[in-house]
Amino acid sequence: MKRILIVCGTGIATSTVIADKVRKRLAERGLDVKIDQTKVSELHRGAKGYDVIVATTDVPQSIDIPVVKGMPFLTGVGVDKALDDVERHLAD
Amino acid sequence: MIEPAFVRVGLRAADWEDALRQLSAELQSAGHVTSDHAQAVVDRELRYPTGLPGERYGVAIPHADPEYTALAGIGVATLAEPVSFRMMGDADEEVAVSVVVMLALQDAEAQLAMLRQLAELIADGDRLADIAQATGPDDIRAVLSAIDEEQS
Repeated sequence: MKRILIVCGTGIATSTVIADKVRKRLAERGLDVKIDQTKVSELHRGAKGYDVIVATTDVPQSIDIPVVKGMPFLTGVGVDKALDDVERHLAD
Repeated sequence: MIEPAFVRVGLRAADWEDALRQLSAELQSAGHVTSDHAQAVVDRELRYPTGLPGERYGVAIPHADPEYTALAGIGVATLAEPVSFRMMGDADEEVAVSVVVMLALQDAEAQLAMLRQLAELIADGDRLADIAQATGPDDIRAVLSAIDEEQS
């Protein structure tokens, strides 16, 4: 199963909301994915095994996994485009 | 529905930090956060800004780590004049914020329902506008109490 990592500052607030939305919206597109969330300060341990990161913060440049901005999942503005980006990276 | 710890209409704030300190004080007097929460929420806003451009009104969702929370909850305030916050995920950008929702967070599951409802509010331009244009606390409480988790 494809895996998505949701990243925010605390790992419990915005990432929880975004994980919820991403799961729901991808399910609507017929995609079943595994979603985890973490705080950005934990990212130094790497993000091995994930296909795409959705983040509301800057992600360290050492992470070589594609990153999609998570804010559209909060505001609803530009969410379809963000989903398209996530889906494209999952397909890669 | 969301039961807020407090609501404030037309808060006067000199800048984002002033707004955060005033709202933290409200959360503290309602018993939701510790006395060092104000500095923690300001520090966190500097590192991870929370301004979000909504459809019509900017909203900010400042919060600190769970260690500063005594009791999970949210406080909602509208600002008399919009205040500039830095944008979540793009700290070079600024957002004129009219509505501030301050979160007192605890770990994970306990607050999932609250976060879902909050998400619905933030993504709903009409509801956010109703809050931004509120003329009294009851207007805000009415919007919050009409939020249904199932719709999110």
